[in-house]
Amino acid sequence: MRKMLVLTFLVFMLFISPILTQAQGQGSSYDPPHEKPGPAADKIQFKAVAVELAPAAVEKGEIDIYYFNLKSVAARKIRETTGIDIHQAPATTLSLVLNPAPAPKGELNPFSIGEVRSALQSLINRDFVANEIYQGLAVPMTSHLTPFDADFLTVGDTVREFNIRYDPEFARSIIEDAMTKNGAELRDGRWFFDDRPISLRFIVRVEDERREIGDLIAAELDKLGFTIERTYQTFGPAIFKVYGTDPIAFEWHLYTEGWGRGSVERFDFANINQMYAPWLGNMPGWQEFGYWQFENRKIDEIGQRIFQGDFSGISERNELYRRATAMGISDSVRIWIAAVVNSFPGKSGIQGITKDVAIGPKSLFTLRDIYIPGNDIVKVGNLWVWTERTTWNPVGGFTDVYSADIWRGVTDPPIVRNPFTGVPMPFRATYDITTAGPDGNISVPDDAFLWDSEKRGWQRVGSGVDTTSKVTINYEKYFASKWHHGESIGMEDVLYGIFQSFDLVYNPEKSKIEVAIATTSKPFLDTFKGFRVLNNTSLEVYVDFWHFVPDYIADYAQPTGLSMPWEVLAAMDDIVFGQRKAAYSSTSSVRFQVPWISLVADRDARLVRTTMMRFSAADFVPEGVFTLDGTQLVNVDQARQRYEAAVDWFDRYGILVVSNGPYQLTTFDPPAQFAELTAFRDPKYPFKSGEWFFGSPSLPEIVKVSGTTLVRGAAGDLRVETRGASNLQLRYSLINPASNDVLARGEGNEVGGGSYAIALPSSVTSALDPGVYQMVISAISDDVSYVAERAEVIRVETAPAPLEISNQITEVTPSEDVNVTEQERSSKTSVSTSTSQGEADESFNTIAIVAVLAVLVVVGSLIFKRRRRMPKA
Amino acid sequence: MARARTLATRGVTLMGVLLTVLLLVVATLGATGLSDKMLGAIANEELRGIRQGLAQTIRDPGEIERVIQERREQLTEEYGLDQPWFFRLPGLLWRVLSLDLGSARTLKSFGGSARVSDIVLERVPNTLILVTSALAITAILGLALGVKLATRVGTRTDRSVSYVAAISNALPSWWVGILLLLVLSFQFGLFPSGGLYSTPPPVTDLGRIVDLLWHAALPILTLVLVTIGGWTFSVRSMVLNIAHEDFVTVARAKGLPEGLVMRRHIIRAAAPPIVTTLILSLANSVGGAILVESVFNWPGMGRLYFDAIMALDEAVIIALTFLFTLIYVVARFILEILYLYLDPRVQY
Repeated sequence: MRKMLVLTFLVFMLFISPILTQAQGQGSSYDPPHEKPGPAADKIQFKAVAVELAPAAVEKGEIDIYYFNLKSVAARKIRETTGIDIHQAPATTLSLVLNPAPAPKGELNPFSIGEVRSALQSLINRDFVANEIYQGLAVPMTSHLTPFDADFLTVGDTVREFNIRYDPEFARSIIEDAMTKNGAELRDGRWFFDDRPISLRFIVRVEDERREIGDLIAAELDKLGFTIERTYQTFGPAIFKVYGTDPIAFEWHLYTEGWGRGSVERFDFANINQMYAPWLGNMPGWQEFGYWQFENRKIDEIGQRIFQGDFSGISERNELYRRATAMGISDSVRIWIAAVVNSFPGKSGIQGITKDVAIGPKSLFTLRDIYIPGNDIVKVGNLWVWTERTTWNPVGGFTDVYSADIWRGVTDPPIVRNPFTGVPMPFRATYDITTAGPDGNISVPDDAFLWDSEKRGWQRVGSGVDTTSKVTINYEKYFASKWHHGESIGMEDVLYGIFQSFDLVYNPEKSKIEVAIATTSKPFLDTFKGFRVLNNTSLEVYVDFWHFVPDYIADYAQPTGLSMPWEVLAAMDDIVFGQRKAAYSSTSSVRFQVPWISLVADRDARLVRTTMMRFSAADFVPEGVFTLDGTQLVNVDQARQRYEAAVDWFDRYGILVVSNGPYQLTTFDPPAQFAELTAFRDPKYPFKSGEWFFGSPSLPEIVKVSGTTLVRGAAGDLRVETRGASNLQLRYSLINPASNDVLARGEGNEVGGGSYAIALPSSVTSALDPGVYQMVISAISDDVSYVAERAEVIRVETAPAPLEISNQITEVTPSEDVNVTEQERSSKTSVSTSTSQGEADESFNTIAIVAVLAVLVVVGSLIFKRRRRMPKA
Repeated sequence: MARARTLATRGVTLMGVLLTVLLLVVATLGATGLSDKMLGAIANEELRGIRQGLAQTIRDPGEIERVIQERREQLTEEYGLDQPWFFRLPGLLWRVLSLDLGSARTLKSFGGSARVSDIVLERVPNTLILVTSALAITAILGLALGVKLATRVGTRTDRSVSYVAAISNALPSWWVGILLLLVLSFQFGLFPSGGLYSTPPPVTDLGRIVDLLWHAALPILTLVLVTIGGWTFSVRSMVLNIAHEDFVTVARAKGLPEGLVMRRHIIRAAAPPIVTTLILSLANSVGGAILVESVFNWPGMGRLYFDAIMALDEAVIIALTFLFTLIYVVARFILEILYLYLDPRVQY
């Protein structure tokens, strides 16, 4: 089994790492096709292609890149095809959720027993899942973090100490003990309770490889004597059964879950709570009123401390994180299976792909820089362009991934996440942050303002208001350019965005219509203590929020996404709250039986157009929104000009998506499942192609570890050679492979040229018995939130005999120097090895003699017993 | 007068069938708790989504819980979960009966409308183009071939066509669809692989119509291939049975020309069962062809029903059940009238 563990790591290193590093090697340099402002390509066409047909579509040139994950068989097959590259990212994780509710009297739910749940960890052959079912395009997972996540560095040792491995016999023994203790009976290999067979309802998802995983787990459980009722279901019926019924109703016992990774996260606070802590409503019972609830108060308490930032610093945070992870694994209510490497096929030679560490080529930056030399059009395939959830409105829409994939090319957010580190960074806006957090306060200036829904205007906050942080956001790069319909972007658009959010929440007339948005936005907006317009381009935001990485404060403090001009938002507001002919959110749409407003839907776009024509005819300017300290930012003529520009836009394209990004949405055809983006070449548009090209992350990789043979009692010196990202933080854990106990841990020091030295003091080596150990070395860079890991076999040998020691001392001395050569270390190793061999021979002789004696004793006693049992003649 | 009374009685009976079907659907959804479970599941899923969304912006767990509780109460009220099903569902039933099909919870029309009537009106033409066209082709060809074969019973042509008809009838539509896709679309590139329009779609209206028909060709061919065998053989058998009736023998004995015997005595007598099959098939065709529509990614009525079940969209399920039953009831009523004119032997 130990070999299996080592083998797993080796397979991972040999197989997955090259796949990911192969991807990083592609297209890291970029030659912009032109110097024009705006994106690289002139047009991007999105079309729907079924996932089964996608490889052929790329091959035939019908699409240039596919934005949906291929099935692993297709992905493996197409990798061999010349002219096609596969862009990969570990974007999906898989888990198995168990129903731990207590069974009614007279029945037994095995998963209500903690030991049975824990034993299930050993029943899942994760290596088979990764290597056979996913054909190498997945990596085993035993906690909520993938081995690539930045926080895996924090919890790696904790996870390893659980010694989770595929061991069905171990699982069987644990389960048999636990079941028997709880009154179950094993008859002819089947479990019974109260004379009835124990049956488990297993909901297996069928859309992807989870079907095979479900079958695999079901077969293992069947072998243990459980009767499995498999139900193969798609998303809708499955979530209906699992999340829509009381666990105590036992509509299900197990369910194969799948999770999409949103974006890379350097310091996780939500994921651990979602996956382990019941309070956040993602554990069985789902915090639904009237349902039985899985409870673990301790993990809730620790999870909430991580969530709220209730720690003194990073080390305490990490300690809390480790404890919560350990509790989650101990509970084993959600058992992790694998991280799936998603594969997105694309034509070879395609330029400008930026690979986000979590979501791969679908990063925000790709559409800006993507182009095919000699071709003005890039054709992007996706599973769908339009679905029933497609709703293009920036207030309560964009809930489907397919619309979001297109929208990313149409709008420029003020602040974005770095595709490699996941840390927020300025994009179209810049910012300065001042913070007194976590404990101090900043005074909000008297002349800062907030929207007053009752008085219908901006009101000064007055004196005596304190807050934690101040962010000064500069919108110069927006204001220098124009909206897609040709009108200048200005502070009035920023103000309308702020007004729209605040009025929706604090105006009771609006909040009772859009209840969902109002109730969920209010706690967030309550933390905004004031705004102040500093000059024509800058806005100060005072906010009660702190984070130890200041960029997160700026990310939080964005008062508006500035994604659409104020006149379009005003017309939509009028339709939703005045005319009551549409709704921003799906729930209000259902409640009031009106359409969920979407600017790509013909009916809604026409409504917006008609409303703006009415606004124009009535010389309408939104009341109070553009009046700041007595200054009117928008007059009637300017407002009319805006309305006319938007109406012209509709007349030209038949849709009303007006934004400010590198592409304009010029066609959206739901029946044809087609959308076309046309480059926005405004001379003042601030970015040119290549300006935000990141390419592929230079992932850290541990390529070689030398000096892995240690002498007991002598200081050890290991050398780790890395490549890829620099500024590495390198950690090691020395592990007893039999028990998975961590015997020593520490950090490596850089010695130059991508090499790191790990110094093991003699105090550590002297505590080790001779034999084989495992050292797990992990590395993470400040430049990329990705953990590289390598497991090395460490051999510990006894110190040589006195004569040999004296010989060796002369050889060992140079090794004290960090510049010891590999050849010298080899000679040391060979001496040590021969010494060790002699000792081993002696040990072997002793063992052999003892074994022979033992056999003789056993055989003798058997013969003796047999004679005693022989019946008398 | 007697005919009118009989037809009225039949009409009332058929309306009774319609009502019974709807009541059964509503009772199945309500009394079994399925409706409550479906709505509860939708509400729970929404709350789970909101909770995870809130976790990204609100750091105070107590505040999250307060917001969730507030939202839960709103959803319970919005979905009518604060009322038992026998108060909630009859309203839905009454609305449907008064032809107000209501709004879907998750499904939408291409135009963005959630009104079931809008969704249905958008899907029906797609289905008519596909399934009804296929049926029309099948009926015409089947009728012509079936009658022809009935006059050549036992010949090599009859035997060959009968074998082919049996094979055609046995072929699964999804399999034929995939086969045609592989050969005519992927191998030879003669037809598109699915959907309604090419990408980018033609800009002119005429171009769009031609493009739509081009996209419809392969699924229509699929449907014709899998239904023509059954049709042909049915028509052949019906015509053959009539051809052996005494009155046909008498007509022939009177020395009437064979064409006249065929038109006046055989086909007219065989017309009622043929028309019955045709009318009921036409009525069924409005329901779409789930498998073929799925294989060719054709957004018709069959896919709509399937999607509604998958999305647990109660309003659409009830509305479509009502519509399909209504169409069947109307078709049956039309048949009752047609029988009177097609077969003089039918007396009420």
